[in-house]
Amino acid sequence: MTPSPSRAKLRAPLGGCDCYLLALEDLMERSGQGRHVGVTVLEVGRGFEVERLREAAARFSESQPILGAKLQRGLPGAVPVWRGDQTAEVAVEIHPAGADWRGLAEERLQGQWPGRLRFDVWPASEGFVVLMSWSHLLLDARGVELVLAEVARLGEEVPAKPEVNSHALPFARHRSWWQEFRAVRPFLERYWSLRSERVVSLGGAPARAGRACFEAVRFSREETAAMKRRADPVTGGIFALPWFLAVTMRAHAAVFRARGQENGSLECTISVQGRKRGARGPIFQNQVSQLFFARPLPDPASVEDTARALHGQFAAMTRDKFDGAFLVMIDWMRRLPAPLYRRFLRREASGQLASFYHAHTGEFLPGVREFCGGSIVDGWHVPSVPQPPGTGLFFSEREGRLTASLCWRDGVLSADERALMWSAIRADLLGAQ
Amino acid sequence: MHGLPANLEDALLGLVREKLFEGGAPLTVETDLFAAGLDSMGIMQLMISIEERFGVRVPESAVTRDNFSTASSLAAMVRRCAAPA
Repeated sequence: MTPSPSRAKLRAPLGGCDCYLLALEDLMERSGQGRHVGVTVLEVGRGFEVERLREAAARFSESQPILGAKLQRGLPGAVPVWRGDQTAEVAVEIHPAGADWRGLAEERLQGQWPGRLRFDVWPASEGFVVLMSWSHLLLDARGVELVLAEVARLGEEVPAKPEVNSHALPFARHRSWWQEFRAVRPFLERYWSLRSERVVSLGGAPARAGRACFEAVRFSREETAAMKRRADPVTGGIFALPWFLAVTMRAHAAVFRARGQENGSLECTISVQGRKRGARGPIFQNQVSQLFFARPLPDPASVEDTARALHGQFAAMTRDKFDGAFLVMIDWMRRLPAPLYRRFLRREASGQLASFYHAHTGEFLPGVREFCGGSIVDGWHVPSVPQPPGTGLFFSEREGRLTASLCWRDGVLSADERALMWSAIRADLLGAQ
Repeated sequence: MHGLPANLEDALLGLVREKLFEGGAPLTVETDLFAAGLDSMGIMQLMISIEERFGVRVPESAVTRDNFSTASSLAAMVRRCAAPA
C-alpha cells in the first residue's frame, strides 16, 4: 500500500445491502467458509495485451481509494464505514499457457487471497482467459461489469483526471418514520407469511465448512436461440426472471425428489438491481434489493406453469413495491449490532437463508467490445454460495450464447445429483432431448 | 376510451424517465428501450406504472417485446388496451 496524500481521507458508510452482505460474510467466516467472493471469467481474443491490463489496473487502483480502505464497525448502533487514505495495488498475475485455470478459479473462490480485487491471466488456444476475483462486500454483479468497463476504458486512454468518487451514494432521508414504516409493510407481511413454511435447502442447516465449487456450461448460439423460441410463449420474449427461476427451482426439486424429500417449501430470494438504467455509478456499492419467491403449490407439472405462477408472484410483489420495502428495511438494519444481524440471518427461511441462490444477470458487459486490445468472446460470473443453502444456479448471456454456472459447497451435491440437475436444466430450457 | 393524455407518447416517455432511467438520459419516443437496458424488473415496473397512471389493464398477451420496445409502441399498446371491446 502507498500513501496518497493528495486525497482526503475516505469515509464511506456501508449501504443497506452492503451491511446485509457483511452479516452474511460474518456467518460464512464463522463456519470456515471464507469470505463472500466472486470470480468473473472473461475470454478475450488474441489482441489482448497483458501490459495494458497492468497499466489500466494500476490507474484504476489509484483512482479508487476504497480498494485500500479498512472496514470499521464502530460502536454498537453505528453504521459500519470504509475508512482510509491509501491506495491498494490491484494484482495482475500471469500464469503459464496450459495451466488449469478452472482449478485456480476455484481456488480464488475460497477467498484466501489478499485485497478485494485481483486479476489472473492465462494464454489460451484462441486468446486469453482473464479471471477477475472480487469481494462481494464491495461489488454486486452490475458493479463488477462497471469495473470491467472502467478498466477497459483505462486500457484505451489515460484520463486527464482520475475519478475518485465511485464508492458511495449519499443516504438522504426524505421521509418521516411513519412514511418509512408504511413503505416497509409489504416486506414485513410477506416475510411473516413465509415464516410459517418449513423451508428446505440441499445443504441444510447448520452452516458448516466446505470448499466452494462450480461447473459452467456454455450453450451454443443454436441452443440459445431454441431456448428463446421455447420460452417466448410464456415470457413474451422479455420476462426472463420468472422463466429462469422456474428452471432453477425445478432443477432443485428434481434432486429433492431423488432424495425422497418432497415435503419442504422451496424459497428463493432474487436480487434485483437498484441502479436506474443508464446510471454509471457508484461502482463500489451493492445496490440490489430482493424479491422473495416461493415454490407454487400444488407443484405445477410443467416449467411453463411454474413460470406463470412465479410471474404472478413477481407482479404482486412489484405492485406492492416489495423491492422498495426491502431497501427501507435493510437501510434500517444498518445500525444493528453484528451479533443481532447474524441472529436475524440465522432465522431467515427456517434457518436456511433460502432454498438456493439464483440470478440471471442478462447480457454480460453490454456495449463493451474490447478489453485491453482483445475482443471479448464471452464472460460470466461465479459467486461463492454460502452453506446453507449450499447451491446456486446463475445465468448470463453474451452475443446470443447463454452460460449457466452451477455453484455448490463441497459435500452438498454428489456427482450424480449434479448430473441430474444439468439434465433437468437442459430438459426445461430446450425441451425433450 | 379512458382519459388518456393527448400526447400519450410524451407522457409515457416521461414515465419511463421518471421510473426507470437516470435523469437526463437522452431518450426519445423512438429509443430502443431494450438496447438502453430495460430488463424484467424494469418491464414489470413499467407495466404496473402504466396501469396505475392511465387506468388501463395490460393483458398478458400484450406484454411482448414489440409493444415494450419504444415509447411510441407503448403508446399504441395503451390505446389498444384502453379502447372499448
